[in-house]
Amino acid sequence: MISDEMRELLSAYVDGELPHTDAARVEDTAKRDPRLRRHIHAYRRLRDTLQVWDAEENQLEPSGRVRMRALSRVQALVAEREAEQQERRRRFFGGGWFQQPMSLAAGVLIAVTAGVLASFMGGEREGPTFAVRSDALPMEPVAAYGDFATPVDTSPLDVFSGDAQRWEEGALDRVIRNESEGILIEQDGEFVRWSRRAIEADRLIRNIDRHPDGRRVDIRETKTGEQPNVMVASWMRGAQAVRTPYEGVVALRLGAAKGTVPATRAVPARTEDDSRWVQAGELNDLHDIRVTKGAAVLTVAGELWVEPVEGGKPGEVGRARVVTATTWIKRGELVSMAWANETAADPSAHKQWALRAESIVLGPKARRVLINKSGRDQDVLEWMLATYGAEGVVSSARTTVAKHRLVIDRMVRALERDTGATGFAVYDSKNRVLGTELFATHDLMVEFAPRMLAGYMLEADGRVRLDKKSGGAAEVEAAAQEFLSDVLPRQVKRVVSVRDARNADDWPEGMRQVNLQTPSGSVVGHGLMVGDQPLHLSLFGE
Amino acid sequence: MAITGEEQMIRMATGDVVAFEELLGAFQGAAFRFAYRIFRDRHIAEDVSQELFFKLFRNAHKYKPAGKFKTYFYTVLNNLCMDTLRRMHKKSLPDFQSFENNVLDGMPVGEEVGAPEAAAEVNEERRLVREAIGKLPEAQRKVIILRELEQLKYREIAEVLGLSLNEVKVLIHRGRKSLLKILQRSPLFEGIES
Repeated sequence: MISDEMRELLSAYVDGELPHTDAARVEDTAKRDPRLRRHIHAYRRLRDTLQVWDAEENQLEPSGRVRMRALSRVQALVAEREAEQQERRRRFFGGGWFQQPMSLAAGVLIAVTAGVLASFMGGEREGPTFAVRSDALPMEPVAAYGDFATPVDTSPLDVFSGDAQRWEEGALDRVIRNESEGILIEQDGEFVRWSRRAIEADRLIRNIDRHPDGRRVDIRETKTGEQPNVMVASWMRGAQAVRTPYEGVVALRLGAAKGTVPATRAVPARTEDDSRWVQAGELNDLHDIRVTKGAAVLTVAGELWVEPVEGGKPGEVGRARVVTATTWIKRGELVSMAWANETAADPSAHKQWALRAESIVLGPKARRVLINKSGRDQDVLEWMLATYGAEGVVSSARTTVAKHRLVIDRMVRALERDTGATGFAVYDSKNRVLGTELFATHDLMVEFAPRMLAGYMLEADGRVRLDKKSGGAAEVEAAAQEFLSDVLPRQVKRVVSVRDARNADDWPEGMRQVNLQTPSGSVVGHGLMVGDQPLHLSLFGE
Repeated sequence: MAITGEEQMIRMATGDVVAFEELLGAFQGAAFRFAYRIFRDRHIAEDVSQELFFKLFRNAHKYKPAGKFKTYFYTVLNNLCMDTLRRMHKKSLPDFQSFENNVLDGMPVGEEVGAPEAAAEVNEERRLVREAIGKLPEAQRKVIILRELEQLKYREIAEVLGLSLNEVKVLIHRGRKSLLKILQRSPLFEGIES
């Protein structure tokens, strides 16, 4: 019979909460008493069971309402406090007994500060420019998508209606719908509405869990009539970073998917002080943002419009260009699309493109399997650590919601340092970073980003399960064949075969894929090199 | 660097909304899940969570960074949950089993287990755990949640619940004893004295 006192000790012992002497006493007794050992085992088993159960329960996440409500209350409180403070100041200074001397002092202070700032910032700063910058997706979509994009003559089509049949038949003209309720509304974490027309037609739209890890990503199952489709909207989630070539004030407008995007950060200048978050609730509003040439701007993919502003004032938009990318898995076929829309004050100057990008890719996990088989490259690791290590971008740790902004901030800092680099992070619907892709140049990103994103999409859809296969090369090869046999019938133009991935014919000559590893040998990502020049670095999100 | 909350609280005291967003991003999941385990109602848990964060911001100037933020966080959260419960005139916690049936049954269970028999065994074990936790008295349930699920140390649990270290030890021990008693039905715990 084990005494109650001993059981109490055992419970604390299992938790590592016993002082050294008591722990030694328990261990000593346990050596002699098998019942005690069984009890310790039982407590540990219980703890493990609870933790496994907890791990499942930990998938529960609050909806976006918590954030929105808390934030709006806090913002209201801050505004209230500021108003109170101003009122107090007004009463204090309104007394008049020292109003004049204080005004003089304030004037001097402002003049001095302005002078210091002007000298600090340099007198050669240009005024606002009136150029247009879209997000990290190609500025010139037709050229950027190059030979795997297919511009098609268009006729009216509302892509958000689920009427994809006409698109597939080549009817590609469309009108971008700006009414938020006409696109997608998120309620309680579920996308309950697709389009006004979809509601009227009572089409089935629902979010589904399909990720091999059980994580939810932005995949939606739709129905066109009785035909089920899967759509992966890359522009719904994800963030992109670009380096703006402009200087001055631009207006920033978030796109139309109200309620579906997390807060987006525009980091327009070289200091954190100049940055600001644009909340989802501010969608479709214009925001004045001052940009410094070469500054990094981060945005939810495809949803940021940066527009020129006359004199720094919003409302006088000259042109706007929006590019969004979506990937559909429709009727068993992977279809990537890009939409480009350029508006102009003069309606006759309005231009639109609809692009169908056809390529097949390996997702990050499939690539990781390849990397594990393809040797190591310490030089790249050192280069990468030297370039990005200090900012903490290089990490093999699981990136959670808690690190969401941190990752973006680090990425910004990394981009600030390396003038040529650009990149983007990919998130799942819980805002967990699935991967961070950094490229040596914007052009490279333009070339590779669509395929990289498509890779994430494929994995999200559960079609790439290479990572699930452990063991020898034969299993990996078998998995690769399975992947290819799944992919090949999809009328893709090009397939980068698993076997030949390191010398893929659509890569620049001499390009090779290398590992990025920590000093302990853990693979944290991979890179593409031409000679000794790293071109693209891909960091795993977990 | 992980967000621990201390720095954000200090910044929030100066009205820094960015710090608030950081804190919210880092801890809203934990707050929600804790409240969820208490109320078994998604809406109430969300209400409690947003109230918590608003309260943290409003009272940030009162926060003393001497102790761990985590302890402060759970103390405020626990108090909020208890206040809410009182307001709801609930003498006892809602039926745990109904919560489990409503919420957790939809989750993938035993997905990683290859053989159907093994999956069934794991499912059975988890069902027993749910039942067992649901049957614990409120005080024991809270310490078990804080210890096993929130991973708090005994000292932190004592601070959060306003108990002595010894009371925490005894409650955890009793909670486990009760759990084992129920779980004896599972072959995995067979032969263990409760």
